[in-house]
Amino acid sequence: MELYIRSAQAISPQDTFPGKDLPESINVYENIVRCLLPDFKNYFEPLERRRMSRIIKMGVVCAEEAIMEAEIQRPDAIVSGTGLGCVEDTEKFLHNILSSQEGLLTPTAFVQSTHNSIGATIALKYNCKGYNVLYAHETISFENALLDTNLLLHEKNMKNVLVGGFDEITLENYELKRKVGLYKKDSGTNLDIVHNSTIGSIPGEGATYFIITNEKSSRNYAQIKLLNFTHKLNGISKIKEWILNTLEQAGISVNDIDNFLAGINGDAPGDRLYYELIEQMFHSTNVLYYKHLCGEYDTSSAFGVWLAAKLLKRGFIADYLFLKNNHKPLHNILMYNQEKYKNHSLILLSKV
Amino acid sequence: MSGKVFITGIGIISAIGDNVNETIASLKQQKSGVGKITILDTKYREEYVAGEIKYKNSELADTLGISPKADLPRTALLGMKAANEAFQQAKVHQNPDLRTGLIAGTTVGGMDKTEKYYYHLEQNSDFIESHSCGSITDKIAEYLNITYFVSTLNTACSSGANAIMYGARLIQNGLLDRVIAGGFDSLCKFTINGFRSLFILSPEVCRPFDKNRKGLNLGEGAGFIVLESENAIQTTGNNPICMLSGYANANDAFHQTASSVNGDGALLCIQKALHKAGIAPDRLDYINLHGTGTENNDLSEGRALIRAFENNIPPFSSTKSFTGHTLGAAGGIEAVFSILSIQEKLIYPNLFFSQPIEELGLYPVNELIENVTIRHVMSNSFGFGGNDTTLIFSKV
Amino acid sequence: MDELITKLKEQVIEQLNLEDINPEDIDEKEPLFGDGLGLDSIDALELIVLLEREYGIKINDPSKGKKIFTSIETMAKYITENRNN
Repeated sequence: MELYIRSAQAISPQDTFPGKDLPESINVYENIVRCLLPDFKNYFEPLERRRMSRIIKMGVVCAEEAIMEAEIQRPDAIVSGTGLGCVEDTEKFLHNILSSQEGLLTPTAFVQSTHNSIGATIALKYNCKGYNVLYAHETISFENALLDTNLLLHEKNMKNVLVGGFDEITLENYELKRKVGLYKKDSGTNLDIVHNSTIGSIPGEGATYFIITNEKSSRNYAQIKLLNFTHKLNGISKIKEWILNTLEQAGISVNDIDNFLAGINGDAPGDRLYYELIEQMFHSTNVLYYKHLCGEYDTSSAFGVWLAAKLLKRGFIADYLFLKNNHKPLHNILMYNQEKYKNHSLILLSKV
Repeated sequence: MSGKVFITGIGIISAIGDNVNETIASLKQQKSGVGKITILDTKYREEYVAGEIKYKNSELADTLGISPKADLPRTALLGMKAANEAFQQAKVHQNPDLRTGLIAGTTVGGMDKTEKYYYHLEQNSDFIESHSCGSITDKIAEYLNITYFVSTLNTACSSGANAIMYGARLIQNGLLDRVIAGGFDSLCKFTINGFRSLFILSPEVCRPFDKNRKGLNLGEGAGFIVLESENAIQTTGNNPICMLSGYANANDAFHQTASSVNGDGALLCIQKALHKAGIAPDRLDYINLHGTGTENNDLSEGRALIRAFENNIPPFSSTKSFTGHTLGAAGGIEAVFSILSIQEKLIYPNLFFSQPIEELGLYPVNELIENVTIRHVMSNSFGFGGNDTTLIFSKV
Repeated sequence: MDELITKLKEQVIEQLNLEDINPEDIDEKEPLFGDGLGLDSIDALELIVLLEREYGIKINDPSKGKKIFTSIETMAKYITENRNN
């Protein structure tokens, strides 16, 4: 696989936007890890802003910065991923229906709740009539977008594809998921996710967009050398086998891996898998984690890729990312994520 | 990127039939499935008609061998029904070594269950985990025991078609051997009220491409097809029904819900799909339109047809007056109709048509045509946000 | 009428989510759609809801809305002639 990250932008709960490097220190949040937002007035006229909810503004602005950073007129295609789409508008419209017993309803929230609103808005803004889709499959939504991008750059006469992932957390959604144990029942902060002993993750949100290209350049952040994901694997030995086979097919051995970036999110039962893999397969690599910066959400792996790209470009790893520092070089980073032993994904990024 | 993509299985459930055979019978009888809403509990039962499947969730669950106590979302049940039919026809459970994927398009996800219990958490809180689009596809994957590759797309009304296109490309790029792809959606208050607020629901059965069309009818259902690579077919020994020879995706880039006046996105799609299939426009034998019956879509799509085919538009019709507009399922359901047109040698009528749209002067096929050899058929799906997709199926 | 026009401007701004636009910024004779304020078909549907909710006036055919919503002034005139509450 030969994909290059030409530009990378992330709106996140950390000071990362626009175009910033990793922060010096981590912002700490209690219970919900919400994004720091840019001043949207700098990007939209009032009339434009009227029909954009918070998540749509986040995604559009992030995508715009990625396009500007790449110094292209418009992307050749737009491929996005999201787990839940536009939650705020969905909730709004749902409440309107239920509380008014299907009474008088306004269309804006319904229109805005359409999952591919961000892709559609970017297409409108840049008059981009190319391929445009949205993947909505839980924690591999962004990975599907990346895979599709790889197919596009192979198949078509395309150079630059806008790819991204976005998800938002609302107070209402947080309360519902907390009730059923998906998020931590008791108070905690985003710093508490390592070796946490209780169930539930710490929820977060974000919008991350890249321009991915197949053109080499010293300007690129990093190369994506490998991408693989699968739906279900039963048991740790199957998972290890899958990881080894994936690496082997790309001509890589575990010993070649310098940094293992794990999707640890604070949910004890789910995280156990990461710790077992670290012990059994990645004991001599550096071990890093990232969800204490962004929280857990379906497309948080997009933020993980942003982070990995920034690290590979700048050449050193911030202390707060280490779970284990084995003093390995920073030539490559292997990201692994899974969700309750489902949706296993591997992404390998390397220095250009 | 090369290699043919064959269709070896189809499955469908909609307002005109529970399965492929019933669907063929209804299509031949020219019987619309759009009528009164009797199952969904909505205030607008009397005001609108829809392509509703006349089974309660418990009855659907029964036919699938699932306990009604599981209280699965309706979308999951419909998806399981159709995906399983395709799965069985293509004997997917044999040859477990083939790299098999399940890819679905949906707009509703688990919303039909969410809206039922959102204000009644004490009765049921499962909906919290079954709300997302992907979680429904997961349930279908579990039912069919597909573990290798499972994915979901949501691009509004073109979701099902995009799922099929993605599946085909994964096969042609050597990443999968076989894919069950399509779409599912169910009626729910969210979409009925949503489309109502846009003033595009028709109080009577829709009249696609007619001068006096008053809007669309919502429908529900699921349509899935099994795609196999050339190599896979050697292994499975399945007889291909037809091939997926062309596909394309383009964005209209005009407005969040309306299509451009001249059908730019639709035109691009149609042209790119023909180019992919390597066939000239005049080689198409039938076009299954998106044809929702809204003022905007039909005008826009009609203009695109004129621009793409000039004076030589192949026979065309919309089947949405049979089924209603099944949203995320439409691309899958209409793919099945397109494949059946090749298999059964049929061109379906555009029901309830009487006068052409003045600006276009176009006449869809308005009587069933039988015993016609269909070598190439095109299926259009155009969604909100300018999400346009076209598929072309061809006789082997 | 003047009072209605002022109130209407505030209501339109709120219904259409026009942040940072004040009632003083809208001229009641200025076209709302196309050139002018630049609203679109979905805004028209929002205004139909506004009319029903605040003034009890039901518009069943959105295409009739075009004439009524030409400007704040035409809206005010229509409301004065047709209001139900």
